[in-house]
Amino acid sequence: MSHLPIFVQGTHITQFGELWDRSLEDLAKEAALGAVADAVIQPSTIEAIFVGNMAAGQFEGQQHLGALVSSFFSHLPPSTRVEAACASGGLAVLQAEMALLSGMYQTVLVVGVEKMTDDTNGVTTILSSAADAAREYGSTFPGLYALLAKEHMHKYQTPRRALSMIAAKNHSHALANQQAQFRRTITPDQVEKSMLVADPLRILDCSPITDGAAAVVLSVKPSRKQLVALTGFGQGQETLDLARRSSLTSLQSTVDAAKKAYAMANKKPTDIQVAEVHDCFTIAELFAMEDLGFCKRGTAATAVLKEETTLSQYRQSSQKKLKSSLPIINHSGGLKACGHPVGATGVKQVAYMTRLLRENSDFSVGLTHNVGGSGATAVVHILEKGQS
Amino acid sequence: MKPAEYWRKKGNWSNLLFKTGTVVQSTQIFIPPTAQALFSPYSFLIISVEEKKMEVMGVPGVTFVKGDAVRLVLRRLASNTPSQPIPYGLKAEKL
Repeated sequence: MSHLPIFVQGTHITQFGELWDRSLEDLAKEAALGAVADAVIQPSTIEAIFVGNMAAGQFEGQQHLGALVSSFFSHLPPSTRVEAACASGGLAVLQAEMALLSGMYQTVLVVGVEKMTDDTNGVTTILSSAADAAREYGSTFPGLYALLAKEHMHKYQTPRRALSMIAAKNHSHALANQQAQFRRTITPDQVEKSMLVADPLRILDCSPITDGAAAVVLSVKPSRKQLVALTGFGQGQETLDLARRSSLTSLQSTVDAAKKAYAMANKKPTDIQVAEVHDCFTIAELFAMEDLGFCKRGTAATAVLKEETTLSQYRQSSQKKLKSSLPIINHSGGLKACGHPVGATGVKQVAYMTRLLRENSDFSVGLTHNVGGSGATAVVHILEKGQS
Repeated sequence: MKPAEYWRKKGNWSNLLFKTGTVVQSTQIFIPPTAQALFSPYSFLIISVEEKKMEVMGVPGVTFVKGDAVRLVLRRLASNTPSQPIPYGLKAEKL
């Protein structure tokens, strides 16, 4: 059996947004071949493919995505689709890592893709299929996170303003991300005046409906480029329905996934300098901050209000020189502003973090956090630069 | 709702119908799935009934808050086409 680290040899992220001129296949192909090109390897080097996708069957009538992506390569490598709702991408990366660690393969490709905007009328119904169909009849994704938000607000007196600040922060962060769906700022006041979706969550608390794809080439062999390695990973599970959970102010799946990832990488939450967390709704980022161990229970809102997770150039002038012990969160704009093509998000997080560690000297240790459903599945990865 | 699913669900009604409980947490859904559009906005609740928790829709036109006493009643859950059975099921009403 091989051992960690696993190297991220190549990455590619397509434009995220309402891409009416691009098909599901177009997006997957651009990401797959782009990552191989970035890795500077021959396509025939790819020994297996893992495809993260939630609902191409419902959105596009296209199942069998493993075979679809394999057909981009003349040698038709074995290919497997992985589904875990919005955590499909993160879990596809994890399954690829397991395949590498088994010793079966040395170099594999992971592609995450979702084409959502062709059927905007059906999207609420399709996404709600990630809930417990029998026990959560009539629920919506925003509705389930709204229940979590209200319980957090009740237990910790979490101010509504903190949620608005998260949305505004992530939009600011997306300004510098060329692939982001929304590259424009919004204010906390705008968030609070936007349309209610599920009380207390408003439309500007929600991540958008997005088309997009991302891919990474993973290998047990070091890359020719600056080394970035996956040094820890973990997966956690929770009950599919909220009612059977022991807590409505924490996602135990995230706690469990993070614990495994930290142990594998021999890192602590305080070692993480930058994190891409699953902010499908603003409240989800607050949960992530506490569940990943960045903040004590009930204190994440205070850190957000103090702009401790905001890049310094986007803080209010009085906070510019703030010395924060917390990681910068959602440097890419997160799901909120970069966009959330559900099956692609987990792969995009790893691809984006790899680029950031390669190109930005401020960061050497990063974490990615991908959640499926209302927390039934969570996947956490830790990436480091300079490992060999 | 498919007829077979409807058939399976109705087996549980007699165990829970008219049972009373308490709202653990509530939200009001303003952007519903297509099948629930006729009720919008409607409440979606976690309730505690006989020490078990469950998720249910609230009856339309009523706002619920944490701690409210509720009773489970049989109500229409979704819209249907003329060829489908009317999808009834359990909802919570305020006591």
